[in-house]
Amino acid sequence: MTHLFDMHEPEAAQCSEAMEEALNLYMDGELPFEEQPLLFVHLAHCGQCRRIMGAMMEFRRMSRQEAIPVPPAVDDAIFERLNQAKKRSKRRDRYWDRRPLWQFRGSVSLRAAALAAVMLFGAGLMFPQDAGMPLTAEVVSAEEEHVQPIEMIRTPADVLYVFYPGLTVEASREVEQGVSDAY
Amino acid sequence: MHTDDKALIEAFQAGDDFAFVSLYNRYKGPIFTYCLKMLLDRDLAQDVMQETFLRIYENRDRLLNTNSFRAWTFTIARNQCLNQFRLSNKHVQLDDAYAATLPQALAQSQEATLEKSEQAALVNHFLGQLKPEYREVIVLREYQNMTYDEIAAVTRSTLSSVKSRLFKARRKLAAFMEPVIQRERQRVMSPRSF
Repeated sequence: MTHLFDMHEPEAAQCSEAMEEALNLYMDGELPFEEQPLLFVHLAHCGQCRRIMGAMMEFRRMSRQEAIPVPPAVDDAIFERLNQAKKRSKRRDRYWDRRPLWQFRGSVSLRAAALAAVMLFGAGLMFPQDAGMPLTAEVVSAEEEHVQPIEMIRTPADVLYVFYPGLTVEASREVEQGVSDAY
Repeated sequence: MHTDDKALIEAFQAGDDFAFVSLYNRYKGPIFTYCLKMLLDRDLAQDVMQETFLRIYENRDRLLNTNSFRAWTFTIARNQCLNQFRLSNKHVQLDDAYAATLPQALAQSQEATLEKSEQAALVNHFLGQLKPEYREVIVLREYQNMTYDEIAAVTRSTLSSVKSRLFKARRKLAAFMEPVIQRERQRVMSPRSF
């Protein structure tokens, strides 16, 4: 522990910072018990510290004599102002609801979504994919080549309906007769 | 801090107005005392107190740590008081105002000890002579009984700064009070002149 004070310090001399701190800590109840005797010895020799301590104790005594009640009118005024503030905030909320769609504030705003869409479109224009031959062309031609009738439904009427995968063909009975002969 | 303050604060933050009323009833006294002793003007203190609680209500979402509600509340009150000082340069005016009331308070006292109201006037006079940065640490320590750490949290400063300001403020207070104390002692010791 540092030496808080000089025992032979003259009364009129300035006390050290450590001594002043010890005095303040004592007045605030923060000075450790083992350091208190040193402070008391110093106070016995130092009139300046005694005066500061006496003045502060007097100030503390006087300040605690005073009762400071809150005027009842303040309560009413505060709650009135709070009500007004709440009404204002409600009006503000409804105002936000009435704003146009493009100014709507959601978790993701429409403006941001529209901007993202425009950027994607722009990126598509700048870096187009090589389309080449349509992939479906080959398939279609293959279907044309390998199409086979899978079922023929005979109807008692003069008209025959032949079903292919995804395709319906209307034909007369004479045509049906020709197809049967071919098989 | 009360033991159930935490529950009240959480309820208040969740939108429970009754919780806010309970918190208001608990803190209105300390906040009013702080504002009054900082501004030394009852009407101004009432206005600042209203503004403080209004801001507490409106900014409840900004309080992240419920344990620091007291410090947060006093910080808001302190900022409002400092705004008042900036607006009206109050500390200069108060010095003059309380300098005028002091002789009156002393002259009216014909008894050996000062009446309570006169003591309050004296205390206000001494506080009015301090700069706001010194006055606030004295008020927080002597009237609110805050620790150094709590004062540092309220005034947004360091522990060493709080100690330094508090010690200087006390030294100044002692210097202001010494002539008055001497006068009172002489009055007690000497026979009445009438």
